[in-house]
Amino acid sequence: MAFFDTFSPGSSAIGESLARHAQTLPLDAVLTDEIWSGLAGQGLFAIDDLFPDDRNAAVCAAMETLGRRGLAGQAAGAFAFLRVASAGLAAPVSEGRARVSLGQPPYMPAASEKDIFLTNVDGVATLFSPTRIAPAETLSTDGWVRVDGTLSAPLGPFEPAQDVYDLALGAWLVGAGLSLLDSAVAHAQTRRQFGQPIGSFQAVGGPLSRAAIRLDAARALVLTAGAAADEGDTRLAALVRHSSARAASEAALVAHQTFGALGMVEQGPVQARSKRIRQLISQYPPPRRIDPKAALLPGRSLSLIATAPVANEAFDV
Amino acid sequence: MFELTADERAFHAEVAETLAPYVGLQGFVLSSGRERLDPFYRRLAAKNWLALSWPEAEGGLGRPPIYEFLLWNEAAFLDIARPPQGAGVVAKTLMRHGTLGQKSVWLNRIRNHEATFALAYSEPEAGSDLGSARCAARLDGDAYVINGNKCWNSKAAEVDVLWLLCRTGSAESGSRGLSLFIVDVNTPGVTIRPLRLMDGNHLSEIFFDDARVPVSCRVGPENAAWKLIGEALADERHVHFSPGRVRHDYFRLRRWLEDRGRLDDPGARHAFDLLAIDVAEAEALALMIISPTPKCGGEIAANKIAHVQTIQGIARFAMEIGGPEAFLADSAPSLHWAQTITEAVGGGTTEIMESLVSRRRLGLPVGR
Repeated sequence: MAFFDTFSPGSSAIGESLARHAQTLPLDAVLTDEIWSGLAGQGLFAIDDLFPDDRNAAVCAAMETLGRRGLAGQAAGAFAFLRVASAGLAAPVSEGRARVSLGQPPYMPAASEKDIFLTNVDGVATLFSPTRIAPAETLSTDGWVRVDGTLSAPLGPFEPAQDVYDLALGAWLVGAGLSLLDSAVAHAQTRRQFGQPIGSFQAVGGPLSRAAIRLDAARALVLTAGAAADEGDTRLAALVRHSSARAASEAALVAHQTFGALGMVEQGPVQARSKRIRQLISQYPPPRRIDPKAALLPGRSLSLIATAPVANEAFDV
Repeated sequence: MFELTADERAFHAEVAETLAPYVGLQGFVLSSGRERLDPFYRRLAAKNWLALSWPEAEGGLGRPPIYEFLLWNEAAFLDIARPPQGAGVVAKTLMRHGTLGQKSVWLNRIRNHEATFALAYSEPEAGSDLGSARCAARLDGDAYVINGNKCWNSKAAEVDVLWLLCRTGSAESGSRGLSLFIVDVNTPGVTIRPLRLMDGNHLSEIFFDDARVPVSCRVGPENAAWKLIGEALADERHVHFSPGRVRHDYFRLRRWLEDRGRLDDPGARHAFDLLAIDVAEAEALALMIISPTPKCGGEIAANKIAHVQTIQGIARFAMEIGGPEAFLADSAPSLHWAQTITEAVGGGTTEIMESLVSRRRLGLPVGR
């Protein structure tokens, strides 16, 4: 396994083209049908076909880009669906005609009758057919819905869906966290109190530094896990979800604090993304338990870059 | 991105085979102990592995830094030993700035483990702020006369030679008035006293009382030490605070707890499982240092912070759920707990490291 701290040229291409598109969308925009289909028009939901050799890395690159703009975190659910759906079921999603709502009834991300509702029933990815859909407001500005209905077609094991969901959400959270960190750092460099930039105070710089360390590590884990998944090794995916959630959560709190009162204001630079981070971290499907011996990979040291040549007996790993 | 080449993987396998007889040699908590460690260093010297990355013209093997990383990371994972300072900071500085005479005297002895060095930089009033060091070297004919004292120095009580930072400029010259010297520990006027630490290891106090050191023992130009020290730190960035150590601590204490049934409780096991996130993050930050991706300069500091906080977190957790047996003086949890406290100070305090990340990674203004 190789270690990654940058995107490969192939996977970064989708990130760059999406970044140009995302610049045309409002920061922290609510995910409307129009935005969803616009993202689909950029090839977002055709990644699996467009990048057959590094589809997971491309998903990560795309989602980090969207995270940096604070929007479309729900797209992670679409990647999950596309990994378990037949070609016929997948087409409306990859073409942008239908959204995917991945959740656990009765509360699910916003979607309508034309869309796909997906859940996990005892480890099986299963479609849900709503008979009634009512809007529900949530912490983030993304609308949700309350659905009544019935379970319908099982699509197969949920694990591949969860693997890509954890990678996609992890990448989004890292992007969102980095963007909040960047804006907080910019504020700390320019906001003056007591005659100097507040970033010159260690009590301000320290927390920002710690958040940066967490985010940089989480990002490297996302990149490495994405590339590993493209080689068929998904053991880091569950760990990535935890790591990115912690890093993004910490970055959001530090951003609130660095901006002071401005960080609480409804139209301010932090709150919308912070709420969205908070909600997505906790959103269904929940993070999986970590099996350290799998996540850290059996063998000796350097698991991220090399397969161990000799089994280690000293610590039974 | 990077990946080991076939040759690097073959070397890694050779390292594992070579190191196998020495697993647990250091015990981390008793890293002092020349008698125990010398056979290992001599074994490496026999393979010329103390000079892995030295140029072939200087007697080395001319390998890229990744080879040293593989060797010392494995030694950290297997709890064997840390890289000797002579073969790293000292030798690499001598190769760049030493005289022909200094190279001919020291390089072969260092790579053969016939001469051992300790860094003598810190002082009672100059810990993190080395630019305010006071220990002075005054030129007197063909020698420098050294007076003052050093403190908090690792290994000084058990090596042959000191790599000494002294003030040769005026008292106000700050970092621009410092020079480096090679000083035999048996030089008249040099007294070294061990300082026992909370983890069983030792630091040293070193006293200089009119110690005369030949001019030929000054390394590099007078008052140029600051640059030499900075270069040497960059040289060694890939072998200190190895991720192998973090992984070692995690699996060692996990096994200790499992063997005593302390992870049978699902809550305890889950909490310990979550520490694997910190282990992976520390590893990722360490690997950034050796990745060829362009650097911001804060990676070494970030790695040190994550490394230390992770091993402290592991040890603290083991103490919390280890039961009374964890309190025993020679139990793995208590030894790790005490030793990891010291790691947050040695090699640059966490506070200094955070300041470096603030400046270099985030571009925040220098503050106090």
